Amino acid sequence: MALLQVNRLYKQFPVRGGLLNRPIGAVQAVTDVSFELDQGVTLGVIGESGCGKSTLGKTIIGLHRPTRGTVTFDGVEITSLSHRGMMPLRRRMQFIFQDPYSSLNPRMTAGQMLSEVIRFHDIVSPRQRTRYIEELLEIVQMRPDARHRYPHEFSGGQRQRLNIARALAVKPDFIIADEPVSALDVSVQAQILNLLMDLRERFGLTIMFISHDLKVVEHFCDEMIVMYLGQVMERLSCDRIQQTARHPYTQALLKSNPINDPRDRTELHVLEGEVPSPRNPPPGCPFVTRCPVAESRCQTQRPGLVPVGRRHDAACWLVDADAASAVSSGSGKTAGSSD
Amino acid sequence: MTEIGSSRAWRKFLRHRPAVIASVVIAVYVAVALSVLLTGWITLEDTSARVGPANLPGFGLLPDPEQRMDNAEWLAERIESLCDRADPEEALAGFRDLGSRRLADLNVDEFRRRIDAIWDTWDRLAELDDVNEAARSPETGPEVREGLAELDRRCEALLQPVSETGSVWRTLELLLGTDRQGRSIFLRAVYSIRVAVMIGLVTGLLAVAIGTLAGLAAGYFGGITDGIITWLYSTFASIPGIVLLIVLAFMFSGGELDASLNRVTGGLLRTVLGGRLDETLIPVYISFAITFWIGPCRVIRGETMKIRELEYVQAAVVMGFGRMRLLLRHVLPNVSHLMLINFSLLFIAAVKSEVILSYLGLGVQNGPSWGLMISQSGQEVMKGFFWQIGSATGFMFVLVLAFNILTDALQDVFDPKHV
Amino acid sequence: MSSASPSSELPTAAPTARPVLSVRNLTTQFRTDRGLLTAVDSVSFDVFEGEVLGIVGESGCGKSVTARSIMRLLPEHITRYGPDSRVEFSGCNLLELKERRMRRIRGDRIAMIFQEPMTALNPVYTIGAQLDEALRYHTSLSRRERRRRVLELLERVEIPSPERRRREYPHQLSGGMRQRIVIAMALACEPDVLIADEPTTALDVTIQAQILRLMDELRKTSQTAIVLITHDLGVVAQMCDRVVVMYAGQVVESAGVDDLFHDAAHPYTRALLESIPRSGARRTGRLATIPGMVPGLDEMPAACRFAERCSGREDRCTRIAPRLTDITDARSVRCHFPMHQAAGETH
Repeated sequence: MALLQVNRLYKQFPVRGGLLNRPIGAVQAVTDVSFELDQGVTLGVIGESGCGKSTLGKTIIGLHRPTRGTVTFDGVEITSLSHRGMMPLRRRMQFIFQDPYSSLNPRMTAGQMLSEVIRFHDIVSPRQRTRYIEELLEIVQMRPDARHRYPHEFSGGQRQRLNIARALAVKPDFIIADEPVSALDVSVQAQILNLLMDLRERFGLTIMFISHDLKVVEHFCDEMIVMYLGQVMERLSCDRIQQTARHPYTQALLKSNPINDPRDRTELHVLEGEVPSPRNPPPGCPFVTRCPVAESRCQTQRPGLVPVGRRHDAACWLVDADAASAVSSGSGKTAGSSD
Repeated sequence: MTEIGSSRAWRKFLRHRPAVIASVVIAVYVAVALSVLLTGWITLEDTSARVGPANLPGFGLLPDPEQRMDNAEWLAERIESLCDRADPEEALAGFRDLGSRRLADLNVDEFRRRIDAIWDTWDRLAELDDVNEAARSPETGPEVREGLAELDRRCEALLQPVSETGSVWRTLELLLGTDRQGRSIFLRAVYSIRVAVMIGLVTGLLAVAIGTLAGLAAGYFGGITDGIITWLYSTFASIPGIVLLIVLAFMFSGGELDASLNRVTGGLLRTVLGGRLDETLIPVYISFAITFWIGPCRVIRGETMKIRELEYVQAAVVMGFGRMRLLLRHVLPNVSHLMLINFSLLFIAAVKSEVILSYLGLGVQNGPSWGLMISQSGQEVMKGFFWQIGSATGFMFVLVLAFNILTDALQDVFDPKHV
Repeated sequence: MSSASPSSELPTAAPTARPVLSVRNLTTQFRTDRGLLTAVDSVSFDVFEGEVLGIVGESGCGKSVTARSIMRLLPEHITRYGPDSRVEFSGCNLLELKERRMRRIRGDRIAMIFQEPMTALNPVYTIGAQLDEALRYHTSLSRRERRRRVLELLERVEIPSPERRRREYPHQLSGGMRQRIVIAMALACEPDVLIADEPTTALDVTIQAQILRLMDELRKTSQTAIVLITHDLGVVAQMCDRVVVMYAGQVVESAGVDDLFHDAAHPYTRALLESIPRSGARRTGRLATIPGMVPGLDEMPAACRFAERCSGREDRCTRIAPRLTDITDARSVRCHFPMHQAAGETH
């Protein structure tokens, strides 16, 4: 059975305004998101800023209360659990934050921070605590004397290692990493990605990896879901996405992605227009305002996520149209783009 | 260990030369206040005793001729009237009006003789239309000045010479001259430090404590808690500060409320401080704390709202930590620098407001304070005597300036942009 | 939607024309609590008409300070330029120019765009008013002409319905739209040089593509020289003709974009290129990393600044500072053991 099941999850944030600070509308941050995540799989969640990928992660971990829908972790529905009831599961689910500068309490040394977590969850006996802290630091490839130092004494990469150490301290099964490398320089980013890959192997972690960087997701993850305006556009395997991606948005992302080699230089493929405001998304397909192949029914009817191949779903009328034949014949060919 | 105690912040502070000097000045003020409070080397009686002639200038300068004649006249008349009592020996022995000075060991007749001599000289000078003018003019000048010196000598002859040990104290007493009632300006100004520092410390601590609690609660919990606290401080803040202070001080001073307040709080404070706290100041403390908590509350509320959204607090939530642990371990330490800066700001505000309230007669009720000194120096200023108002404002100015410099330095040191 | 057409010419050598902007031995130092810190250490490069010069490096390498030194945007009271530092532009040394004259050059002849477009726009004026002000300050156009020009500029940076957008405030626009407004302001006076400091770092990839295409069109239509400062090698590969790689305040390599990506001579450049995730090396493939950290400004090694992190380090590297040497007429590298001849074609 899947380790994590997200079932028709919605999250809205009220928009307050006016003199009385009354709710005057709502931002649809996450709309009708469902997926399953098997033990040991790394799932990438990709999308542009404001697409709701971070909110999705924070809603799953319980930092936001979902407006509707359920999250089931290892068979337990966690969305309805109380603070106390959630406690045993807290140890098994962890979160790594994006900003290495604001994710560590500036008034606590690395050792104090880890020790607080270990003591609170009673991970090891008090005698072994120091030993365990040093072990954790070693796991994230930091020197044991780092525990006496304050966050400001560390570089961005080192701080991110401490964040990882904090998440690992409770020996979790499942980690949500929210843009863990996007604030780092390229060479440091590579160090952290390598570290995460090692740890995934060593502890058999299941990871939900949230990122805006297609190259990083492609490199690090097994599968990915592509989000746009709070909705899942496509879910596909990270193998050969260049060939298999079928949703026009995923294809546009692939083409907008900067190249690795100046010899591949082409006229830049540009997706026209801007992302609509999540306060009033289009009634039909959310991507309709920028989609190069949109038809009239895309304006009015929202396409659902349907299977288009093996472990491959997409939410697009046009993909769906030839999906039936694609599924039956068992091959998914690129479709939908006018190029 | 918090960042306040960290060596980096310290080093940064120590590089700030003016701030270090300011801290030393503040330390001296606090030390003086504590020594007065604990050892009582200046007592309330010392500050109200007559130590010499009225309106004596400081640093051993001479008063103007007319003032010198007035002073001689006052002394001669006092002692003459004592000699006229039914039991002159006893009356003379009980002479207290000049504080540490004692009358010479003479019999009544000798006193009468010396007083007559004073009157001789005095009359001679009194014949002049304007002594001040005469002392300045080239023709009569030398003669008048000689007469005045003789008058002073003859007055001095009524008193015992100052003893070796008493001379230092005497110098201190007269260092900044005397006020209209012949009281020592220096002793009164120094004694007022005690009042100022007490008010600054107590109201600063009280207001920061209230403000921090309210600010943390409002910022962290939001919702209705935030609504109530925001409403409260907006209401308080919309009344001009000094008017609110006056109203509160008026409410709390005198009458039943005051008495019961004193009974409750004073009893508590008496057990804590062994009666060293001036209980008449309790209304001042309360009215100040009610007015001043707004500043720290507003700042700490804002900072808490910001910190609440920071990822290290969210990380703590993900860990399953309870609210109290979050607030005390993860939020409070990160607003502690604001508490320090606000305390420093409120200290100054309290000192300045005390002066204004006392000037209006609503603050300190007995004993000297800078505000009372300034309010009493009104008539002296019109006569051209600036020693009292100058001393009171000078003492206050140095303390306030030092605190302002310190506050600026603290703000620099804790500025997240530089830390 | 635009179609794909590979651009043929990738100039690897500098044109023979005279450079528009020429930076020579630029050294920028800051007086701080910790003493005099050298943020930029004798950096030299030329920018020619109609070309895009990339300045690449990781955070703290001095690329932004270089840009701000050229524009003289650094706080004067703590900044010191080296005695032989020169920024030559139309016959004068910008570093020695009086602030009054510098102001005429800034925005008019050399324009700059920043990473965060919101900070470059004043939130209390409409974008039309801000564009108008730039024109009023730098040109002598009449009111009507200015208005026409504002609309023209908005159209040029592909703002939809410019007549309406003109009256909007910065906060009403999206990040990509704002950056386009900033570019419109930079273009208002048709500058000779455009310095773009991480212009797309704060933007999403699809918006980044829009902005990059816009900059590319500008370069082609008005022959503006562009200095593109970025940490993103993908952007460099897409946009630049020549590249200057900076590390710890120094130029470590400068080369044509094709040479740089296929035959990098400096070990740092190589390591940087290898640390980008690529398609095809999924899941099991570890990324190449650079061990250690960039040395702090107050603890710069006297010898090679990269030596400590360099895989090909030899004894000489920790003793003698390498000089920036030309290896062909259009390439130079600061390394005792440059890799390109031996390595040949990589990839």
